[in-house]
Amino acid sequence: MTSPEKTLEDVYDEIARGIDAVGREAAEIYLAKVCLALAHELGDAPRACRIAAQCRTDLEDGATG
Amino acid sequence: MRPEGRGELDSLYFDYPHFDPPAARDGLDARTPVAIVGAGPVGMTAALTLAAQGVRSVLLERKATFNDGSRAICIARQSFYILESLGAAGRFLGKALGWTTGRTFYRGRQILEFEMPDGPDRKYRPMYNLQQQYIEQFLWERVAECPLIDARWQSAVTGLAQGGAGATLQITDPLGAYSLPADWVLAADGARSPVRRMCGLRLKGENYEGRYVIADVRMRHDYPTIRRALFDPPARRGGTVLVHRQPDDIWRIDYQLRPDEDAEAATREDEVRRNVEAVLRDIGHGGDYELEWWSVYSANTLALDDYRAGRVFFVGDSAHIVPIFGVRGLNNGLADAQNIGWKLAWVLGGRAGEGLLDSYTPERRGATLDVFANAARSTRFMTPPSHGWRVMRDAALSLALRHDYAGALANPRQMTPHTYADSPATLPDDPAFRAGPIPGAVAADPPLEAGHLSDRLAGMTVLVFGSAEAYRGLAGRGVQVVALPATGPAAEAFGAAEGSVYLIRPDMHVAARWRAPAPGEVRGALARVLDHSEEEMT
Repeated sequence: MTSPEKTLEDVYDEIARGIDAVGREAAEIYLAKVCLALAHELGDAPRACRIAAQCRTDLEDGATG
Repeated sequence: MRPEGRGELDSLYFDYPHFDPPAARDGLDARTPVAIVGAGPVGMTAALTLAAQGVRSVLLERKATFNDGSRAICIARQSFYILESLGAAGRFLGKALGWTTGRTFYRGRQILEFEMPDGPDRKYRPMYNLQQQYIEQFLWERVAECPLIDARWQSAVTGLAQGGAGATLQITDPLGAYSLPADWVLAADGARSPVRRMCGLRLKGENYEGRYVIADVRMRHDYPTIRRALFDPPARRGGTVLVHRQPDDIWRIDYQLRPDEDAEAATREDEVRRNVEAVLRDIGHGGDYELEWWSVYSANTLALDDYRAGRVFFVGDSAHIVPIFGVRGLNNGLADAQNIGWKLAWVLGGRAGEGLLDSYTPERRGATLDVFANAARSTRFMTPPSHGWRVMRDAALSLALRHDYAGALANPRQMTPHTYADSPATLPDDPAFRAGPIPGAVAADPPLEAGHLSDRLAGMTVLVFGSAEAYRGLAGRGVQVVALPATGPAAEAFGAAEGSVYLIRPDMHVAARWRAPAPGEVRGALARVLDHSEEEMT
């Protein structure tokens, strides 16, 4: 986890693999768990709250298109 | 409530005393400095706190005995300091069961164990379990032997009028009726406070409601004094159950009612037995049990906007109703009683100005609002109100299996004492400190060469690290100067160095602190906290 060559792309891959591995049923709880764990590691709860709030945007269908 | 065939006070293990109304009628209407309405744990603590400072009171109770059933059972560490100040701690320590550990189970599986802060250096355990009738009995033993407290049983307050520098209560007991003039009134008359109604006041708060059945059973059950919280147990799917051990082989089972459950049906004996037996199965108790007592506890988060109405102060449940999980109902009530008790005593004794009383509401209402915030959190965790809360709850429980930090999210909060940050009796912090209790917080209680620091606290304490010579002149009129070494464990606990000074109140809260005070600074602070002009202090 601390190896310097890992990038945000690796996080992207890891979580994608995680969602597939735990299955549709557990994916939501898995993601919430990842968020809580990352927020704990971040050690800055106000910042974690801001990030969580910001992530609410642009989720409608076609937001990526 | 008790099983069919047993009276309200027909306990399996406790003999309720019977108290007569005052037989001597002369002088019942004599003016008293303080009238206290309600002789439950809160009213008795207020009376004993006043008496400890030399102030007389009349203690009025409409019933002829203690409260029925065991009700509040958890006494927090800080409350033991209060009991100690009343000379009652020893009696409580001889009976109560101390505990430090909580275990949380999720769907029948233990998912975490947590320890509350404790250690051999601590004077008291973080929590003790003791039935409320013992709490009342042990306090009553002190009240009964105290010549400054005039306790009157079967004495109901039927009227209250305020005017001038006092209030007049109308008292009715089985032998007659009379007026009782008082300089001050403490309303410790419970959640349905008649005094509150007579003052035309109402509790206000969020429209959240939690209802719990609290049931006591007697059984031989082999499990240590560890608080068990059962989330989503087979016995109560989707709900939460708490199990506590009490003295005399009595076990407390609390379970939350679902919003669709009818409280009347839920408190029928057969229904209580069905639920209790299901919980006992969940905790692996296969033997017999006897049902002792049960009640339904309905807890809105409600409080008065102002805990004072003229010469009347509201203390305990008359001022605030809190949910059961935080175990703050009784503990905050005792802290209310001590808070107003010492302040009123200092004002009546001429050692403080009446302005000191203005700190009562912000300090104690602040403590209530703190409970509300934590209670709302605990409740959301135990009974998630929506899909989002449920996802996060399940994520936290899953994380808690391997990570302690997530377990903290699952604790029914056994709260620490409130810090009086927004109080006129709390002075701004000295930014030079890097550690130690901040102004408004409860002082540390480090062990000294013999005993603990708290053994040496009395009245208002000027706690000096290093030489206290410069402060000797402050002693007197309830103020004492205590010197501790400028290095060592005590200095560390306070983040103190040579010359550092803490001002500690009679209730152990820090009023002010300085790493290196300027001349006259401590004297000025004492005058501000006690609402005195500095001339008066000299």
